[in-house]
Amino acid sequence: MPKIKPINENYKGPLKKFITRKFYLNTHMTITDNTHLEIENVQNIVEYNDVYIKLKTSNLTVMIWGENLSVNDYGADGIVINGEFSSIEFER
Amino acid sequence: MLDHLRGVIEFTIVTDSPEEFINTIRKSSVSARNLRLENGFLTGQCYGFDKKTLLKIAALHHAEFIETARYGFVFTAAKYRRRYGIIAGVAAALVMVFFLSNITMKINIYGNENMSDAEVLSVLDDAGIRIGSYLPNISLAAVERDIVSNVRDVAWAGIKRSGPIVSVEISEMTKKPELTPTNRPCNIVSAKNAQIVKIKSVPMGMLIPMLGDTVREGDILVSGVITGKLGNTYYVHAMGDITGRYSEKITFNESFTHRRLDYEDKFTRRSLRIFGFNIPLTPAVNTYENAEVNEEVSYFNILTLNLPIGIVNTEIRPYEVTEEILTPEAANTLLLEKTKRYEENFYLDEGVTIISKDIVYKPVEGGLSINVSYVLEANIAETQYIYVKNHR
Repeated sequence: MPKIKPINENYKGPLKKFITRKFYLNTHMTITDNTHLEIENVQNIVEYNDVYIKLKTSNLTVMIWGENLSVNDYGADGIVINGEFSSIEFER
Repeated sequence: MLDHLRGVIEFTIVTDSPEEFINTIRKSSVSARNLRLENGFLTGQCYGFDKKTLLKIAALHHAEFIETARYGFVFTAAKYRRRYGIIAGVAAALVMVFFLSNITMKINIYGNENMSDAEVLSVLDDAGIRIGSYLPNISLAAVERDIVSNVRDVAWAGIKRSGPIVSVEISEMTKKPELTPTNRPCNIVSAKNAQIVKIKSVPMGMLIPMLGDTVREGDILVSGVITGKLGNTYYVHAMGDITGRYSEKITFNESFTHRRLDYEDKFTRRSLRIFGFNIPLTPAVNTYENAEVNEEVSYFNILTLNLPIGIVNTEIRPYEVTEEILTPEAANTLLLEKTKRYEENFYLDEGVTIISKDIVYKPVEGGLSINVSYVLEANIAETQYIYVKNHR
């Protein structure tokens, strides 16, 4: 069996960034006013209630604060959040 | 609109961990909307056909699925699914609409001036178009051809179908009266290089050449410019019937290799066309190497709307190509037939008399050629208008 040479640790970060960018796997967000937010490449909803939603995407954790928050899921990797947002925070 | 057709369910989920429930929904094929947490319950909407999957997910999470409302056509239709009378009525109505859209209910005829409507209707009746006839079975193009070939007075026929109404447009042959303006001054000139052999009549104008004279093409035979006794000039519409004798040379060729097409009887194949795909209704397939194929599609109609379903009538006329090697004698016979046909079409039908003809045979590469020198007699008078200012 030929031994596969591991990728040098120095290249891992830039390579991941390159692949993420080229294959459109980064977090793509479209926000309209403070009432409508479309997020693509959502991996998981970590926490959810009508004032706070915490999402994990491919490279970020997004926290949305607001009122009357609702989630629309149309079956793809993206979700649509409606409501009245007061703040959006990002965490790497 | 589409939501109403599909049917939408509003639901409430009683669960301890709404996040996990939503994540499972996201991983499944369910398309959920308006998911929100109200008083500790997860509410939302989904399509009717996703309900089973949602129930499974709810069971997986030990959650309770409560359907709070439902709306849409599928649910309304499901309510009436046991009302067989309504279903039968709707089906019967659809069948009636479909059937009545494809049978002839009315025939409109346009463009007939000399022919009566009854005559046109009787011709259409012979071709199969009558009130009550089933239209997809009839090839309208074939009927158009039949009308033109069978009715002498019809020059062109167009048949258009709009649902159950058939519109027939006919263009009749009208013989225009030959207009001969007798007040317009003109000369009579020779149409050929010829020798004048007969002067039948000169009702108007001044005859220039005499009997036996030779004239060139374009020479004036009867002049429309006349000088009076007092020296004044006036113009008339010259007329005359003058016969001239002239010669013409025609060459005919015939190759020794002759391609003959032997046609067999034509037949029709039918197939059902659904969204562009043809499903044969007759088992035989066109396997002929050479055939003239004429295809026509009659689409089914519902209330003048063309459906993407129709009957394709394919008219096939197979033929075989035979390469024949002709003997010089056979080629000669064919050449003489060609000559005869030419004489009939261009001389005898046009009132030209053949005085004599001289045939010279000439062998060419791969065939035979003949030069025919004719001496002909015909009316050589041709009208040429004189353009004068302020003619009275």
